[in-house]
Amino acid sequence: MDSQPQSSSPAGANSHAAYSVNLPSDLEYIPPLRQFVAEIARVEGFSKKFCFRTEIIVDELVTNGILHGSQDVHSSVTVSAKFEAGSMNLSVQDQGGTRLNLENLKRAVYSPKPPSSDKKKGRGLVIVQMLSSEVKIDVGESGQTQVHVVKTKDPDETQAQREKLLYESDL
Amino acid sequence: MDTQIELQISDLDNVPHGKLIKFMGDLDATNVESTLDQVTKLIKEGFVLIVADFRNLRYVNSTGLGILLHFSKTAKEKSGCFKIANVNDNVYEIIEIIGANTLLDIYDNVEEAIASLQTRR
Repeated sequence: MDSQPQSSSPAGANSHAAYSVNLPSDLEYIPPLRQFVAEIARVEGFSKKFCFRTEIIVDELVTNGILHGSQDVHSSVTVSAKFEAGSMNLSVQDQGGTRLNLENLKRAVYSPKPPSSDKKKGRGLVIVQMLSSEVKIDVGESGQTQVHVVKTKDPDETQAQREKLLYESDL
Repeated sequence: MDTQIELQISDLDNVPHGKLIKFMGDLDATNVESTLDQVTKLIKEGFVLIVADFRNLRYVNSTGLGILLHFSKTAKEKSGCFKIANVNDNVYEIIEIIGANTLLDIYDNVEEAIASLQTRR
C-alpha cells in the first residue's frame, strides 16, 4: 500500500492536508487505511464523531470498489482525501466492474434504499449517502469508476475545530 | 491480517438454551465470516437465546450489520432471539441509519437483556 502526502501546509486557519493511497484489491488492506484517514481527520481537528463517520465512509467505498469495481487480484483502488477547515473531500477510484455493477452503484448512490432485512449485503452505500453532504460518480473513458464524497463539518464539530486553532495559536 | 475481533462466549445462568457473547474489537468485512461461523455454530447446537454484549465493540460496518440481522432472523426462526446490549453511540448511529434499530432487540445493558429472556420462559 503506497501512501503519499500530496501536499500540506503549516497548520492554521487555511491549513489543509491531502493524501492519496493506492492499494491492492484486497479487503485486508481496508482496516489500516480507514483508520489512517480517520486519524488524519482527528489530527486536522475534526470531532470524534466526524472521524468515526469518515472511517465508515472510507470502509464502505473501498469495500465496494474491491468487491464490485475490480477485475482481478491485480487490480487496485486509489483513495484520495483532502481535508480543509470545514470539510473533507474524498474520492475512491476503482478500475471498473461490469455494466451491472455500475448500474447498481448508480442506483445505490442516487436512489439509496436499504435492502430487506434478510439480505446480508447492500447497505454500505446507503450509509455513505446518509453520512455525507454530497456523493457523485464519475466514469472514465476506459471504465474506471470514481466516487466523490464531500463531507462538511457538522454543527457539533465547530467547537473541536475552534479548540484546535486555539491550541495551535498557543504554540 | 484480519481486524481484531474476539468473541468471548459463556453460559447464561438459569437460561438453558442461552449464551452470552461478548464482542470485542471491530466487526467488518475481514472477520465477518469467522464471526458468522462461530455464532451460527452456537445456534445450530440449540443455543438460540443469545445476548450479545457490545460494550467493547468499537466499530461495525454494513457487512457486520448484515450478519447481526442474519443472527436475529435465524434465532427467531428457531423460536429464539438475538438481543444486543451496551451499544456505543457510533455503532448505534450506523444501526439507526439503515433502520435496523427497529429490527434488532437492543437493550441498555446486559442485565436488562437477560431479564427479558427470563420473562420469556
